[in-house]
Amino acid sequence: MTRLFKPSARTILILSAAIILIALLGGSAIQALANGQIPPPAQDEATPSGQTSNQEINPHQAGGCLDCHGNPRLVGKTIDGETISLYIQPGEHLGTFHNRAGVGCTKFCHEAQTVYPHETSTMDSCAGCHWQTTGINQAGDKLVFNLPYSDVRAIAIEVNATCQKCHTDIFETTTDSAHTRIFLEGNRYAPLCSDCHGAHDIQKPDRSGISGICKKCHLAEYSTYKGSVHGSALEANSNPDVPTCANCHGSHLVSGPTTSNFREQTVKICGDCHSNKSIMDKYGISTNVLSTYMDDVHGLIDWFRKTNLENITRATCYDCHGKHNILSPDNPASKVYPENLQSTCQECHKDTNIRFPQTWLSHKRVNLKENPGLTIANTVSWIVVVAAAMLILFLIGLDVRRRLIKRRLLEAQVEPKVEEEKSTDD
Amino acid sequence: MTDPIEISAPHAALKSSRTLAVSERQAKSALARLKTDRSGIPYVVRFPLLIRVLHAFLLLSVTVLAFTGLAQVLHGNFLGADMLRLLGGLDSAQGVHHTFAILLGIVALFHLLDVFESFFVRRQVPAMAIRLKDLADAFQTLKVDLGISKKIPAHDRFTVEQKVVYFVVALGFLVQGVTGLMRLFPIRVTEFLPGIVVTYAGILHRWDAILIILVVFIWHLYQVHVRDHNLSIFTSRMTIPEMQSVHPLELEYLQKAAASVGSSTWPVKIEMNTTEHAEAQVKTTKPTLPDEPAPASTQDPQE
Repeated sequence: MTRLFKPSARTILILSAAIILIALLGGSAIQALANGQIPPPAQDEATPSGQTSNQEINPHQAGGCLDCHGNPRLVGKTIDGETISLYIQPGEHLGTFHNRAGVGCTKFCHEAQTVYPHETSTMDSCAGCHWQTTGINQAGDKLVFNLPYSDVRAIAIEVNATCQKCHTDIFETTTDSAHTRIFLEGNRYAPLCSDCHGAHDIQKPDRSGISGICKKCHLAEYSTYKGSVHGSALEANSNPDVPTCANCHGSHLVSGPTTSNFREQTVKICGDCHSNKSIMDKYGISTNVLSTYMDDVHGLIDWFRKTNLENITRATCYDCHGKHNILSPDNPASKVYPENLQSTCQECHKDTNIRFPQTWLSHKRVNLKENPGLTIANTVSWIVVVAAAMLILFLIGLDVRRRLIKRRLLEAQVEPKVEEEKSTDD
Repeated sequence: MTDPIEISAPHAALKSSRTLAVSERQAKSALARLKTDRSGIPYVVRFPLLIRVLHAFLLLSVTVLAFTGLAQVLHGNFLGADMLRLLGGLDSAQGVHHTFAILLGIVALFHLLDVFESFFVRRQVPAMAIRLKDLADAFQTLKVDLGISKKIPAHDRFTVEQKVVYFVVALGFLVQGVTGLMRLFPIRVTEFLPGIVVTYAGILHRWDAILIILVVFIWHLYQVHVRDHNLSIFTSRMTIPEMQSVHPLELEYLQKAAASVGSSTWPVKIEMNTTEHAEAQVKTTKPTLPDEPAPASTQDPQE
């Protein structure tokens, strides 16, 4: 049988490339449409331009989400009369890791809205869209849909619950956080997932932006932090070594700063960085602060941790150095600047005089270089005690030896006598 | 309540003479200390009630202070943590430590009052006073321990080792008291002293405590209670052979002073003969009476 079409190798290559290209483009377009990412090419009479499209797109039938939510005039109105824009910027969701993971609008997050038109969302009249027909509204007016929520916050609260479908572990962690606690106590404006992470444009938080998230609620603390040695470095050049809010307070398991648990953890929180030589060497800061603290009078905190019986009452890092307002000890405004130490000590030791701060070793180690006097005193004491111990053991040893020798001699004297008595009896 | 037994021995004389002048009161007191129990075994009442009670409180307070103090010193290891847990935590441990430090202070106060009363009112040199003989005894004891000599020095009311322990511990307690109070009241101290002194006090307090623990719980415990089986600080009684072994000078004095009761002239002069005894006599367990005529004995009212 004779073949009618005999393609050359070049023809096969071109055809294959064309087929692959068409398949890729077509597949991407279908996927994008399914996720509601591509705005519909069709325009009805309700388009912002007010011009009717030639294409036959019926907005009363199901389409991509952005068919409607790509319209900036789309607005929702809650039962309380609050309004919220229902507009989603085209591409807003595209760059998110949710999109990359295949999480679309109605997949996991807005599952109730899979039916179109949404059964629960209604309009007061048809004129909202069909303004040209009814002549009531004007082009450019808002398209207001009534939402079955009491207020805007109720929407966020409902959607927030959907996060746990995928992020189960993290969601469960948040249940023990201070934020969840105050939410359960009735504060509906306590942070939800979307308050920190965003909604449609959700991104993994950038550490330099964390303080910016927290300041939405904790503005006073942020303002103080911004002026601190840590905050100023973060603000100035996104310094990767300084702690952000989350480094100290945690992220999902935000611990209340007034709890004994947080107080107990403080030494570890500060110590983790301040014992890290690779970080501290960059700034010429001693890494002995933690060990010297533990050895000093205030380090009794360690005993508490080990005995695990009492709440910590001894001074911990932030009692002396401050909390959000931590400054370098060389800064005259620092709480631990030599001239300010007395007043800092007075926060706990009410009647403190000017000499009292000298009782504290200022994180200096007991060695010849940093504390020669104390080192000599400690070493001399050690020598005396060890010498005394050796002398005592030596004297006891001599005495035991002498008594053992004596016992052997006495036994040697007794045995011949017993033998003598025996022979006499015989 | 005044204890009827007055401790007076050769040390009671201000001069360390071999001949002692004994007053009638001292002689009667010596007689009161030589007793016989219900089994007919003669013994010596070694410590009056006040001393025994003070020693009991001393033992209690030093033990508790050592335990609570070591729990704090050893906090860095598992042992210290367990000790602290047993004590109910740090605050509790410190509370107990301070309470028993106050108890020890009261014991020390009573002891000092007793010593002052003895010295200034009864005009007696304390038995614990250091004499030149102690230095000689120390060398002689060392020679015996080293096996160079077999002649054990005749000890008076206290052996030279007991005296060393007493003064080390007494000085140690003084340091503990001062440094402990400095640590407890740093603000008051820094009103007139540099702050660093409080830190030095902490170091001294810790090492001095360890020294006291070594001396009391190793040396004293060994030499008195283990080596000599001497529990007279609790029972008050010491048999004649035990006295001959450990405190022959005191026994000689008691017997000679007691024998002088009934004399028409006072004070009576007694001659002390014992200077040393051979090692072979040590720890004679059989209760034998001394060669000298036994003094008139009285029944111990406490038995």
